[in-house]
Amino acid sequence: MDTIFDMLFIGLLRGGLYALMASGLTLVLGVMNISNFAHGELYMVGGYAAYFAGSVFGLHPLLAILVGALAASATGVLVERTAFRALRTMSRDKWLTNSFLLTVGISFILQYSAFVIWGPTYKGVPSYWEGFIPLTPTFRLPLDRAFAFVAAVVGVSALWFFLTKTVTGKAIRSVSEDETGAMLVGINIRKMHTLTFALSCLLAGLAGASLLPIAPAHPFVGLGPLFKSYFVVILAGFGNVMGSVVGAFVIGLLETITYYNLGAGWQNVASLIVIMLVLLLKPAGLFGSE
Amino acid sequence: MLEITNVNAAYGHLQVLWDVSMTVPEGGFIALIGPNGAGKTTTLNTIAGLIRPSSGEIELMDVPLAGLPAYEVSQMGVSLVPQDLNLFAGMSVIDNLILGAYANRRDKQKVSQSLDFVFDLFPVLADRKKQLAGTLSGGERKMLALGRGLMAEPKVLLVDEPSLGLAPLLVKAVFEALQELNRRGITILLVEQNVRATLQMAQYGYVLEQGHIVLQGNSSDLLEGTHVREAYLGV
Repeated sequence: MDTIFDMLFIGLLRGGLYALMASGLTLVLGVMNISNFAHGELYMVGGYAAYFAGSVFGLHPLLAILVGALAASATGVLVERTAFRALRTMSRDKWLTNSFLLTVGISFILQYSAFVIWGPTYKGVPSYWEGFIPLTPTFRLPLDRAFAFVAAVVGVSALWFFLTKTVTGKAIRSVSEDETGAMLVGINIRKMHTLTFALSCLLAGLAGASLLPIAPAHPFVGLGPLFKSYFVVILAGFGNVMGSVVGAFVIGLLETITYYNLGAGWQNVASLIVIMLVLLLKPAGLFGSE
Repeated sequence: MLEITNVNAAYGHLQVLWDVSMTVPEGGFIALIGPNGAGKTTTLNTIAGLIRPSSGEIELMDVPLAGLPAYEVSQMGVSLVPQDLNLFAGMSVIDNLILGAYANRRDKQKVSQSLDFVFDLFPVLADRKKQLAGTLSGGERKMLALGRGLMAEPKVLLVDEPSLGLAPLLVKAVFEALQELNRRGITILLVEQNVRATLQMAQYGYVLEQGHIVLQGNSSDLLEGTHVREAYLGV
C-alpha cells in the first residue's frame, strides 16, 4: 500500500516537471513550427540564474526562482529576435529542417558557453527549504519537491488560463491555427512569435530553477529534461498543449512504476515502448488530430 | 474612399497585375469580375497587404496602404474575407469572432456591439457560439468568415468568391447578407464568378482579364453591354 502511495506521489512530481517542459516545447512547435532542441538549455539557464541569485547574491528562494525563470525568458527573447527572426526573414523554405538545425546549434553554443564561463562543476543549493511533509508513515515529502510540484501546477495552470481566457492568449492560438487568418484580423505575427518563445522559455527556466536543489546546474543538465519532454510531446501529439500536460503525467507515472518494479535502468525503455505502441496504433499521438 | 492607382503585382518574375486602377466610394458596392486566373484574388490580396505591390498606390481615405504588412492594413480598417476563409478551425465560433475584433480588443463595449451586430445578421452563429469553427457546415463557415471580417468594424469589406462551393440556396442567403450589409452602410468590394447575380447587386463593376482592367462601368450598363454578355453570360 505504501509503495503505491510513494509511486503515485513521485510519479506526480515528475509529471509536473515534464509538464512544465513539454507544454512550452509543444507551444513553440504549434505556433512557430519550430522543433526546439535548445529547450533543455533554457532549463539550464534557469538553474544557473537561480543559483547565482540565491547562493551568490543571497536572494530569498522565491526571488531566486523568479530570477531563474525571467533569465531563461530573456535568453529566449534574445534567441528568437536574433536567430529565428533572421532565418524567417531570409527564407521560409525547408523551415522545419533549417529551424531545427538552428536550435541544435544554439543548444551547443549555450552548453559550451556555460562550460567555458562556469566550468564543468555542479552549481547547486543543498535545499531552498529544509523539512518534510509526512504524507504516510513511511513516505515523507521533502519541501523542495513539494514546492517544485506546486510551481509546476501554478505554471501550467497559468499558461492554460492565459491561452484560453485572454485575448492575447487566443491570438497566440490563432497563429497556430491559421497564420494568414491571424494577419487578416490584425494580429502582428512577429510579436506573437516573440511572446510565445518567451513564455515557453519562462516555463523551462521555472523548471530548472525550482529543481535546483534536486538537480544542480551544470552545462549539460538540460539534456535529460529535453529528451523527456520530447517523449511527452510525441506521445501526446505535436502542438497540443493540454494533451502534453496529460502526457507528462502518463510518462511520469510510467517511469516511476517501472523504476519501483524493474529498476532504474528500465524507465526509459518502458516509456519508449509505450510511445512506440501508441504511435503504431495512433500515429498522430494520443491527442493529435491528423 | 479606397483608391487604387496603377498597381502592379507579381509572384516572383510572373507579373499578375498590370496597372490596375479602381475606385471604391464610401458606402458603395463595387464588383470585380473576370475569368479564372485573371488576378481578382491577387488584387484583393494586394489591397489587404498579403502581397506587396511592385509599384502603384493604394490609399484609404488618403492614407497610403501599399507596402504595409497585412496586420496594419487590417487595423486601418480594411477587412478581407478570403476565398479559403482562413478560420481558426480548432477554436470556438465566439473566439473566432472575438479575434476578429482584435484591433478594438481594449474597447469591451465596442466588441460587444460588434458581436450583437453580427449575431443579428447571422442568428445561426449565436446558436453555435460554443461550437468549434471546424465543425460548422460550409454555409455557416462563410457566415463566420464574414462575421469575423465585420467584427473589426471595417471601413471597407473585401469579399473573395463567397459563393464558391455553396449550394444555390446558400449562395442566395450569402448574397442577401451582403446586400443587407451594404444597406447598413458598409462599403463592399466583391470578387465573384457569379457575374449576373453580382452585377445585379453592385452599383459599379470592373472587369479584369489577364491582369488588366479591360472594362468598367455602372452595373446595368455592363450587364447590357456586348462584352459581358458574350464573354460571361453566354447570350
